[in-house]
Amino acid sequence: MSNVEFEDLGFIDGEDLSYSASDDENFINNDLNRDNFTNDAINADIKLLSKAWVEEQCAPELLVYKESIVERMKDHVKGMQEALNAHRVTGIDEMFVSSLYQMDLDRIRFSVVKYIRLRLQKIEKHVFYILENAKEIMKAKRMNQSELKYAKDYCNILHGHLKAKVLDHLPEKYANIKSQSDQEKIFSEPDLDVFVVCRVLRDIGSVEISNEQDAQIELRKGDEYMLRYRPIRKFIFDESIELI
Amino acid sequence: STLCTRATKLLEELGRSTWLASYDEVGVSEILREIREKESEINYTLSLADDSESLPESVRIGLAMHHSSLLRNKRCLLAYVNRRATLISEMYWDTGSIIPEDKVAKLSQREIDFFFNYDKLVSNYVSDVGFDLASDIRPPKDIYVEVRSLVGDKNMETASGKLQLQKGAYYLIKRTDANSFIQKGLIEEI
Repeated sequence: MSNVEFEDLGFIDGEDLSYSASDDENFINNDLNRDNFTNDAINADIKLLSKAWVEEQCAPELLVYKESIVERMKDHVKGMQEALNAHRVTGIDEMFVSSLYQMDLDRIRFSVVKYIRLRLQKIEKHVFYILENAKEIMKAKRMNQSELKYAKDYCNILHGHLKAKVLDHLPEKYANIKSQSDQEKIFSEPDLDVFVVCRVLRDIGSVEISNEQDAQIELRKGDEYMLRYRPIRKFIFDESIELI
Repeated sequence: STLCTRATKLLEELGRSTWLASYDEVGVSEILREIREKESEINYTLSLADDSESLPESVRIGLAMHHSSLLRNKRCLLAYVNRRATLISEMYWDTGSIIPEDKVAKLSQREIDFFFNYDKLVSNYVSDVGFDLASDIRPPKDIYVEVRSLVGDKNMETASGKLQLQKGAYYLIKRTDANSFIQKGLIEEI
């Protein structure tokens, strides 16, 4: 079976490798020869996607949206699928290999879908909180425009539903979803105090991790800890710490 | 005591059923009525004095208690409706755009509307993002899957051409083709 057909498509061209924003992606791209090794590029992206998914799974709140990875995966998948569909299968060996490629494709698609779906679940769970803090979240690039729209639309249908069922039947003073309940929080917020397992990627220095005992720990590259999420939150966002 | 017992019962019922019980229209209206009654009671009591400070302490304590039971009722109702809505949207991911018959009976009309709005919401996002989010929910173990057709005389589009389904017949087809048909209940996996 000729490997040329799959590599030849050139669906990884120079442009794709050059617009990456995060340090991770730069680190991997610098080591790749852009003209050859398109399969390596896909493998690198798959690793990044897995990492993004694991981190998103561990974190109690929405992390930075790895939009560039999703976009690249979309192109990979499209290219591979087209190559597979176009390729004429002649003989059992070829069929076997092409089914392997197909399985690989299905797995990639599955991973991307899981990642996106996980983020949507987080948005739905904390939709009111997210919309209240939308400006801050958008600034940190933790959502893109489509996700923001999703959040707004979901809030509309949920709020509309609650209104139709409950709020509209209440006396005027209580008809607002928030009214009179400043004692308790009526919107669910992400629980930032959960414990997470993490690895330090860069030397950070002393970090205060607990209010009570004035506890400080020294965070050095390569350390692995199980900590509360809240104190290391900002390091997750600037990628000095990763969740595992 | 009678404060909020109806609301507590409503929430207990949520925990009891495997998925959802029928929407308790009666229970909800009872609680709403309770809220409205309490509110008019409170207003009436307040109107008896020019200034709420001048009411005797026992009355003020009573007012505070009724007020907070009113808020609790409201919160319970919101929790009930919200929880049902969450389960409904989760069901969407399992079974697709059509509500299975045995579940439709348990939903109120507004909840069915909510379901269809949710369907629209997700479809819009899917076209934005370019990945079919409803398929590929389970990790793909095999590229082909053995299925049995539950209906006859249906045409199925596959990547390699059309396939005519016969009731009860077994087929070995690609998972990507099978997924949407499995969701619709036209074929089943073996």
